[in-house]
Amino acid sequence: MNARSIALSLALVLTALGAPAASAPVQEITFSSTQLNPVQEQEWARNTLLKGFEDEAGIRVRFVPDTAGPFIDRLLAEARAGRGTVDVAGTLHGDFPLLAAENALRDVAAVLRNLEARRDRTFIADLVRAGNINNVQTFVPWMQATYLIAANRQALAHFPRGRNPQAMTYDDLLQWGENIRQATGQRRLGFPAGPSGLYGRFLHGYIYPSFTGAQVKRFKTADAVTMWTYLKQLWTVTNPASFRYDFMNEPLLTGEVWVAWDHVVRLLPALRERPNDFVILPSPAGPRGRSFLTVIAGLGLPRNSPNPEAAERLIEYLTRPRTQVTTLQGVAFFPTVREASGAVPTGGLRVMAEGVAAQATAPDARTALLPIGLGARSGEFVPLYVDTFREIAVQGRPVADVLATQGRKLEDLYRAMNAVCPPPDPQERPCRLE
Amino acid sequence: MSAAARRALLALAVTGVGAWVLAPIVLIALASFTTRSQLYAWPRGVIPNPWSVETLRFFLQAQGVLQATWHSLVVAGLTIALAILIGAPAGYALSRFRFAGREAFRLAILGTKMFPATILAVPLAVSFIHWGLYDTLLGVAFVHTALALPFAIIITTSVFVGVPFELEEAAMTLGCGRLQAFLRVALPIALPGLAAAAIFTFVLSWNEVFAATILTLRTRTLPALVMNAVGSAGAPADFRFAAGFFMIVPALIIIMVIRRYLLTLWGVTVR
Repeated sequence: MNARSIALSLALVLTALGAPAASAPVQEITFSSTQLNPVQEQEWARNTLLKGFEDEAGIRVRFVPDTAGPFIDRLLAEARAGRGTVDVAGTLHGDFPLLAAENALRDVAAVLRNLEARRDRTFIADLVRAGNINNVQTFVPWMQATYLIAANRQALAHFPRGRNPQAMTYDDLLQWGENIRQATGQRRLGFPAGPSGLYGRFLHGYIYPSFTGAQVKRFKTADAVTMWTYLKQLWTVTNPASFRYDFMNEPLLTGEVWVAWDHVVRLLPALRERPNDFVILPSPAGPRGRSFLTVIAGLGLPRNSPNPEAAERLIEYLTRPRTQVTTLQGVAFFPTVREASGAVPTGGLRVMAEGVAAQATAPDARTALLPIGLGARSGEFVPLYVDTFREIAVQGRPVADVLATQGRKLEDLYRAMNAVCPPPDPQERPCRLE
Repeated sequence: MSAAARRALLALAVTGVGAWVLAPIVLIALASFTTRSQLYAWPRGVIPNPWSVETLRFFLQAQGVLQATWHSLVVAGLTIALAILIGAPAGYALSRFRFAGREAFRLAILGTKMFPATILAVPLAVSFIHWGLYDTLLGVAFVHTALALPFAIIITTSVFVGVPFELEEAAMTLGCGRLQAFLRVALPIALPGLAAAAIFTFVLSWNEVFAATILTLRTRTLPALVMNAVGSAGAPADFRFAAGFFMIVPALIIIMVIRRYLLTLWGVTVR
């Protein structure tokens, strides 16, 4: 080895050892989150959302977005080691039971009471309740979201005659797809059934409860068989490229797809790009009502947070009505405090906000919540539905057989984890299938 | 088959393999210089018109990208140093000495590949917090070294098998000690092979996301920073292409440098 290479390796070692030792002169807190993860949202969170807090409080916020796996692993590791780096943890409500079970979080009931005592914000009660696990308040509601349908304006001309798109049924949707196919020669309904798409949410939170009245409980009933028969038909008018769609904004923008169902955040880029070309419609209604999922994101305080007071200040800032409107405008997550709902945004977001309101206030609306309580096996829930779909709609296996085998797996999962049925199913622990 | 036909066939095969490797890189590079509105046009052309550095600039200016690139380079450098420092002697021992448990040792090396990092994540993070290695580049380099070692050892073993022991013996008869014979004779001959091991280690460390994500908060490496933002969570196509381009180019340059630097320094050629 010559002197140069030795010097080079030494320099590398020294910088590596020296780098983490540098300390910040001002107070700095760490905000770890599974939300606001896509690159533009990250930049927005740092430069707009958290910048406001930094300027006001004089506290720097290190924003660390992560996927759910590393996010949870890190919080669990810090709880077990008894030494923490994360001050505020923001994620979907389904992740909180797992963290609570390992005693990784502080009870935020007092934080919530202090916030409400300011009298400038009223948290929506349902959302607060979702954070209460075994009488411990695990999170402060932060943001909420849902999934609905975006349609190219050209498609509206083909909507079934005499029917109202704002009160669409699943039969209307099928007929609509068929009309478009006949008129244009192309299958232009689209679903995000790609590897990272959220089609599984459509199955368990939308079409299942709309046809059977339950997400889990009536998985293999006669109503479910009707639903699957319908879904097979729907796929004959659905764009086959749906199997590679993860985010529906792209096929909507290219025009490959005219009618798409997806998460609001994943539709919004299309509306921002061309707000006048698209309309937002409530999800369809089935025989048992218009079911839709409400996704709740919450803010928790890790037990070993090194800066608990600054962390509480950040939570106060993020749930302030004005900040909540900023959040809605920036990333299309909807407010969790009533006082923020009055503010009217503009452009594509306004179209979206109206669609969300129309879906939530429809007379036949039924709110479904993401399943919780499956602990370490949470990741098995959605694939069960997607696999069922693959076997029935793609491989064409007999519906009753597939439902029997998959139903058994679903029931085993709930029995093994002793988990309660997710709403709108009846409260039952463990959840058993009919 | 005539010589000309054979040469044509060879050229065809070389072109095929070359295209297989290069085509995606070229397409990603072209797309990363395309504006967003063009990417969403249907049908879309291959050559950007006009060329635009808008997305790439957004990327470079995004918080932490340059720093993360530096972190990645440091981690990769440390990993290469550690993997060669530990792997080369192990490979030498396996190729030169017959000792009890040699086969078991060889299997045990591969055994470390049997455990998915996902299972080890939480205990590993807990230990690193206790040892003060959490959120340091050295900690990440240790994990990457552990991941790279099996292959580093296997590669170096076969490299040293190819270096005749007679040459070392000759050096020893001329007054070299065992260590000197290794350093002055065996090592220089083995360098191309070690460079290959170094390149492999570099690629592994440069691409590794999981350990880098779990074990760092402030000192993120480039893939930990970028893959989260554009891969799993999804992002518009233009950012994916820009990120892909940004991940590929430094890696290509560095691999070329390692090859050139190590090989020309000692005047040996790879066959």
